[in-house]
Amino acid sequence: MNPAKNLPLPRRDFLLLTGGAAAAALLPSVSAPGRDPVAAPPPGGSANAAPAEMVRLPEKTDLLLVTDRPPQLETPLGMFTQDLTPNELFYVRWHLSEIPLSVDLAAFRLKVGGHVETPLELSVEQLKKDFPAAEVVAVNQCSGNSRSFFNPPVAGVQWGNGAVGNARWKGVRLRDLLAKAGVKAGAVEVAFNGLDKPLLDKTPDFAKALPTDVALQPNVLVAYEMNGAPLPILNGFPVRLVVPGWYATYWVKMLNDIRVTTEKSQSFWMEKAYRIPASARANETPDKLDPNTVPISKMNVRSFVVAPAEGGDVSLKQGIEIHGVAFDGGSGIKKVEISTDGGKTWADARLGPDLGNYSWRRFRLDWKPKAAGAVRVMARATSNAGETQDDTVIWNRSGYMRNNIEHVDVFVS
Amino acid sequence: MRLFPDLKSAAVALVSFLACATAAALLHAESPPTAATVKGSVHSIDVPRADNVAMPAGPGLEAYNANCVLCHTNRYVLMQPKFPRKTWEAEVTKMVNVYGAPIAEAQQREIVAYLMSIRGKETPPVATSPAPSAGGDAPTTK
Repeated sequence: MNPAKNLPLPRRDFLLLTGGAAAAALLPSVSAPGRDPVAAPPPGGSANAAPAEMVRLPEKTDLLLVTDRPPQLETPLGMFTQDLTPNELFYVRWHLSEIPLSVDLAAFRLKVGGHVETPLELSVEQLKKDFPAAEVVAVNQCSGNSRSFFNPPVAGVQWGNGAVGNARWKGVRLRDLLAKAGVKAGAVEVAFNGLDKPLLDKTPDFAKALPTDVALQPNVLVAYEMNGAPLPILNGFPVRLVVPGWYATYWVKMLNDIRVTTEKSQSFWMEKAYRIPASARANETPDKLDPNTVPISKMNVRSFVVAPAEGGDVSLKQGIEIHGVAFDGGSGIKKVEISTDGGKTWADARLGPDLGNYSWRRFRLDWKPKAAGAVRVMARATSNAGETQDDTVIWNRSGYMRNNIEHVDVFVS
Repeated sequence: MRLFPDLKSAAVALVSFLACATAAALLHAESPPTAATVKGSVHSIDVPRADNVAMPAGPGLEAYNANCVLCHTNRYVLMQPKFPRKTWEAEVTKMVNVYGAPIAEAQQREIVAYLMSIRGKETPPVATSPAPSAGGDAPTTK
């Protein structure tokens, strides 16, 4: 299908959006012949759609193609085998129709203004030279990670479990920037905006805000490095906000505007979107929606079994190493337990290196099956704050914060 | 499926697997990700379109094509599971009221009709608490 036919735009806008020369470039068809677009995808979204479409975008390796416009990619679950998720494996998520595909680093300025004594305009060079550098290893998880598993289904990006990753973030503490600018009394929130802009004037620009006390926490960074390298463009080059322990919606990419405010944000993306039921565990039912909602914030405790893979075969004689990742909203992981008998008994897994409370912990357990047959492997994480995963499969109207015990069904022979 | 009837075949399989894994790792190392282009101080990438998934035929496809692909890929729609009419109506209304899509009311109705034809679930949603099983079974229709 000719993309130009589907885009009845004035020529100027078309070129602006597609970068001119790139307009005519199409990815070679990566979907296997015979893939039926009429059939609705099975649960698990693009991650489970057979055959899965993989695509290789710049600065990325082959990842699951979620959308090309805007570019959105998911990491196959089986790739979470390291403490730090390499930049090229990291998932990609954007809200608006298009994203800036080029950034002039010399011209780029991060503004810090609003209810402050001295507004700032800083280049990335100045961020690196004029402020002490800080680092934090932190999980970045999409609020809607795992949405495709919601039952009844919820509209939105149909993520499998791969809209998540763990990285070492380096940058300037937001509170150091705010201290330099001098936050005035009466500040209520700090609002954030990035380079990405909507196509239509009426579409709300993607913008987020944090309460002032959250913004001033020492681990909130304006990051210019991810795992020791500049951010990939698809992950927010040149700088992004890092809010350890909170869902990724706040981690504004291509951050170029920080504004201290005296009133709460009225942005659609704060007031209407990204809200969860105020009830415990962000749980509600379709016929009884919670009348009270609050902005999504801190992550709940979660774990994934990365190996064995769903539907895999396990040798009865040799067994297999069960491994995966676990994380929470910032207290750190206390333990991960594994069950291979449908939850009747649990054994403690060994935890990998502790890279800090906001990092995920890898876990492993050598498993020697006792008998042949179908086996359900389950993992259950407990945080240092005492939060434990359980069987409760929550539901909410937006498809956020899923964190029930995950399972993988394998066949032992 | 019984893959390894004995230890020897298991060992052979293991060695083969390791050889393949090594080869795959080498291949991956040989084709690293494409770097961003840097010209002076300008960092840029190209993101080619992948709209090679055609929308299936259906009543109202013309209204869909005239209004929806302006802002997002067809994949945003095709990735959705089947929804009841109420849900599709709410989605189209959201596009207009929240995202500012300039779609006339008659065209909105046609678009809903189209979405129902490709991703519609006419059965009213089951108004109960979600089932306790983890893993997301597809909703059943009566």
